Amino acid sequence: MKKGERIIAIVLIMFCGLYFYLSRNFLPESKFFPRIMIISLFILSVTLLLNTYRRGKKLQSTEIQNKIILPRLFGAIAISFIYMSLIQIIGFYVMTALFLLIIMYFLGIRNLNILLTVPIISTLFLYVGFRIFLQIPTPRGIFF
Amino acid sequence: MFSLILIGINNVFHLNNLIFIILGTVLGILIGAAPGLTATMGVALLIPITFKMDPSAGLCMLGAIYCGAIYGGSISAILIHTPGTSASVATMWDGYELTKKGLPGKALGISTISSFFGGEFSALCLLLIAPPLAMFSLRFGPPERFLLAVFGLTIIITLSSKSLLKGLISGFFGLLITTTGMQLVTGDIRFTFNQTSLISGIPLIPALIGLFSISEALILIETKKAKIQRVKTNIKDRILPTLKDFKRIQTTILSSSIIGTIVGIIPGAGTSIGSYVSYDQAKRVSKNPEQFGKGTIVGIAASEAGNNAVTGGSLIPLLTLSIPGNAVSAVFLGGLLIHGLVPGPELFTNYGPITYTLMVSLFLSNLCLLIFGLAGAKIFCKVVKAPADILAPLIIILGTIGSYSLTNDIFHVYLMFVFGLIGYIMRKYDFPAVPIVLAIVLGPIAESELLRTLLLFKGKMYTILMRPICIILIGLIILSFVTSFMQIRKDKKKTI
Repeated sequence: MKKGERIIAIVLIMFCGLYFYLSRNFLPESKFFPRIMIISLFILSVTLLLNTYRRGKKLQSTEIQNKIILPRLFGAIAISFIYMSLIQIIGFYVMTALFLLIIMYFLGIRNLNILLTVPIISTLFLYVGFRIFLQIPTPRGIFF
Repeated sequence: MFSLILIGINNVFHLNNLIFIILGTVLGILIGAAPGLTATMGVALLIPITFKMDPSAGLCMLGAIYCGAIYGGSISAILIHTPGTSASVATMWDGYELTKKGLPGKALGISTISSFFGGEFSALCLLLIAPPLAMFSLRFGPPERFLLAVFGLTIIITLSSKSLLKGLISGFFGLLITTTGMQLVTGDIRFTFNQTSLISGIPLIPALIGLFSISEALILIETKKAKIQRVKTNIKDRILPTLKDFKRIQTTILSSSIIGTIVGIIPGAGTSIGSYVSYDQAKRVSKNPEQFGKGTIVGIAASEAGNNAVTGGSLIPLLTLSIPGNAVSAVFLGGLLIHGLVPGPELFTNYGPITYTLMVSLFLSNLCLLIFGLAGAKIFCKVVKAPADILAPLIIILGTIGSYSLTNDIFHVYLMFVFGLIGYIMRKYDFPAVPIVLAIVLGPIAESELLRTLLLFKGKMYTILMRPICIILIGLIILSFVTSFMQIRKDKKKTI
């Protein structure tokens, strides 16, 4: 936990530095509020960083847990990102069905009935509910 | 006001609105009943869907989801000892004990009746209190609106009971990112990184969906054992409470409804606080306090009436002063804004028919909750078996469609995903997400009203001390700080 908080604190400090630099060309009235927020956030982030050194002599490790969880999580994030990137190219409904199939298989579902029926039924439900009934626009691509 | 109430009643019974109220209640109960899904997440996810709808229908549906989800949490709390929402933890203490005794139906029946009365009471309070409070806010000028936004932002502290430092970091991070886009008073463009999609600022809905829904999906995915435990869905005992049982709990329902409504009005105090305080109070005044935690129906009634009474109460400061009463109402504000409705007196005058339709619809939503809860208990409890491996991808898909549909901009989908990752990291390291939402909503108001105040008083801020409402608001801000700090110190002493 402490290691993660330390990384978060450092990232936030860098974030403050970046925003402070970007705000240098703003008008004085536009600069006022963001600068107060940047300085406040910087002070709080430094406090967080110092707190991780103050109490944490041992950095908690969750290596065994991470070996199981992180690949599953990162894999799901990667599949989701690819899905979002391709919906405008391929088409929302086709990609949604494929996304469901691939991610459910990746997460461990092996039942063929579920792998086939859930994507088909869900996509059908989304089409009827969103496109026909609510007339909500969805990304269009090469396919449907 | 009376004529607007009649218009509201008339509108609510239009077939279109009626369908969405019923649909919203059922969806809300399903969302609340499924462990891992929260009312906040459900409302955030479904707000974009209401965009294309008539504003009345959309808001009625969101209100119904809110009421349904808070009640729905009691189903899994009672049946599988897993509260569907944090508001149902106290319900679980006695509800599950009754299930162990072979009386799940009784527990569900008491929960449903209590939720119904709690919700109806708070809906009545909303209808009576909100309009005059909104008219009072007509007296607010830029300094008052600035201080009101600051008061709303102090809620960040009350919501940070686990770690004040982390809550403040979330809040200031949110305030900083809200400076993205064109500054409304000066026209200066800030922190857009040359993205035209960011010129109008960080869009609220993708941020909400990301922080609450996508992060939830990632948490569900992370759970190695994806299957929720199997539950015995055979409810064989009577669900509808007997007259004798109802007489036992009627006083508790009334007192808990009052407590829950007051808790809802207090900004920062959520449904879980409404539930706990009501449960605690019921235990204190009970002749048999030792029965609490062992399956007493009074405990279930107190918790459920208390948490559902928060729903209407939390909408009072939201609709009148733009101050969310809790996390769900903070998200609900997004639902108002996408329909172009700004909280305040205009909501009760120019947009009166829409607002009164919403307020009246809450009565109907709670009635639907009663009917579906009693008649459909045996069906809703099957939801608690829904596997996370299917739920999580569906949440991602709904979030994608929700973020895209508002502006047909794929950039918002990516932004939603970024906020989802931020929300996930925040949850892993105990940073509260609600302060970011409050900051996104109230930050721009605070900044623009501050600039207007400075222009109005030519930089002499001390002149606001001559305005009575400003003095009251400053007093409230100080009181909010002091009581929050005292509560945090008290909590820290307890843990030591």
